[in-house]
Amino acid sequence: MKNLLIIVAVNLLFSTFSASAQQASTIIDAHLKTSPSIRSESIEFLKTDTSVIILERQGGWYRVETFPQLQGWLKMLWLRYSVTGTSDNGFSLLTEGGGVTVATGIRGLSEEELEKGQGDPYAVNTLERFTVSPEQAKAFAKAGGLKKKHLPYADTE
Amino acid sequence: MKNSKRNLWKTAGLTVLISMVLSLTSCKTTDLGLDNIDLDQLTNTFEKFIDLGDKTEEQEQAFGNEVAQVLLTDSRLLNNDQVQRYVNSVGQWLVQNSERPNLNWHFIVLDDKSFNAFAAPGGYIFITAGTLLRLNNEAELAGVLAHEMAHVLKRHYLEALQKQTQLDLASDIGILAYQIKSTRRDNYDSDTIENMELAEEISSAMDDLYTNGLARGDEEQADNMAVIICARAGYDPYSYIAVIQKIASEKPDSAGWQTFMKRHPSANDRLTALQPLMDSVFSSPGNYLTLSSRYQKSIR
Repeated sequence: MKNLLIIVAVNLLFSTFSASAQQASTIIDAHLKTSPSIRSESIEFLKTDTSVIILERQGGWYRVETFPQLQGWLKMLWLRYSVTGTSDNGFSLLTEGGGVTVATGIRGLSEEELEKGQGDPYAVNTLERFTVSPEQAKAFAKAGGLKKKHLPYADTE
Repeated sequence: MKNSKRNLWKTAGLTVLISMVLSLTSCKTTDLGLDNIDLDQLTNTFEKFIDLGDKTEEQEQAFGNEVAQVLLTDSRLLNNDQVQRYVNSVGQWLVQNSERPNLNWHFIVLDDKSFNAFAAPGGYIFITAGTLLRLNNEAELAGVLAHEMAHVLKRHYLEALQKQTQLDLASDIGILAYQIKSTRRDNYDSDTIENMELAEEISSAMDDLYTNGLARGDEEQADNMAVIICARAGYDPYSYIAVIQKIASEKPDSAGWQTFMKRHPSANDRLTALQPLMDSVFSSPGNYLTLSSRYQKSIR
């Protein structure tokens, strides 16, 4: 009985993870690889629109699971996430809900937001207290182990 | 509320106009050697404005400050100094790996649960707390900040404003310059009819810009630059791909989102556009970091 409880508990733990696991599908015909390298062996040939569950990422590769219980590696850009929406759990940083669920993402404001007008325009004058000096930024990078690399912008621009 | 916002835009719009006028007139009296330029010859005065460098950088920042004021009227600052400082640290490190390290950059976390980030000219980068909570690591945060920084580095907002208002600075500014010059001697009179019309035009262009976002080409350029800036700073470039994939998985459930997407590349199109860069420059794993645990410690 005790063992059964442990199994249930472990399953619950895993199901919590799988609830947050991201579903995706392939956008091209692709080989499921044994390791995160284009030269690695193929486990299975997956047709376009094959559904997978993303388990982890390593560089530009995702380790995925596909039906039935087949695991292997696919390039990130061979996949597109399925639309899942996001839950409102864990918004502990916020002082209130706000009620806006737009997902414009990385640019643009919603019309609702432009209409809200609940902020303080003079807050702009208080921003200096958060600014970090170049020296502090360098120390911050060093503490994280980040190293500068010399890299030009690509020609693709 | 709408009116007060309109007025703020108006002020911001007028300020940029005044700034641009001042920059043009001041050139005539400084040592930049522009005395003999025939303004009518300038097919795109805005390019000149951009090329003037340091002189106009101050004006760009002053304008950005006005825009930031307007944006902060609409959203509250997140009341968490630790998070604000952390985001500024990541941002300032990216700045050290950009082409404009001397701008007075500000990274601002807004108390808002939506998934959003945007910028204002002069180095104002806004990110919502909702975005921070959706991201997994510092490299993903760096990606979002670097994308917005790219818009500032390339002056996308300023250029878009010029396009949307169809302002031909060579002629329109000339007229306005005369008006402002004469009104400045007394107290500045914002009721001058022509000024009001221009201000209205700029005001609605700004509304449009911040509602509908920038052009497709600007977004793709910012995506490409973001990946490079992150990699220069030592951050895992593929974390940026993970962010765009997250955006692609967001539920398009609001009218604002629908309006926005009508005119803009979908997240999936952006991923497709990023593929050549990722395949050519980042095909093999480099010594890049995601700094997941520092992120979790700083944000949660």
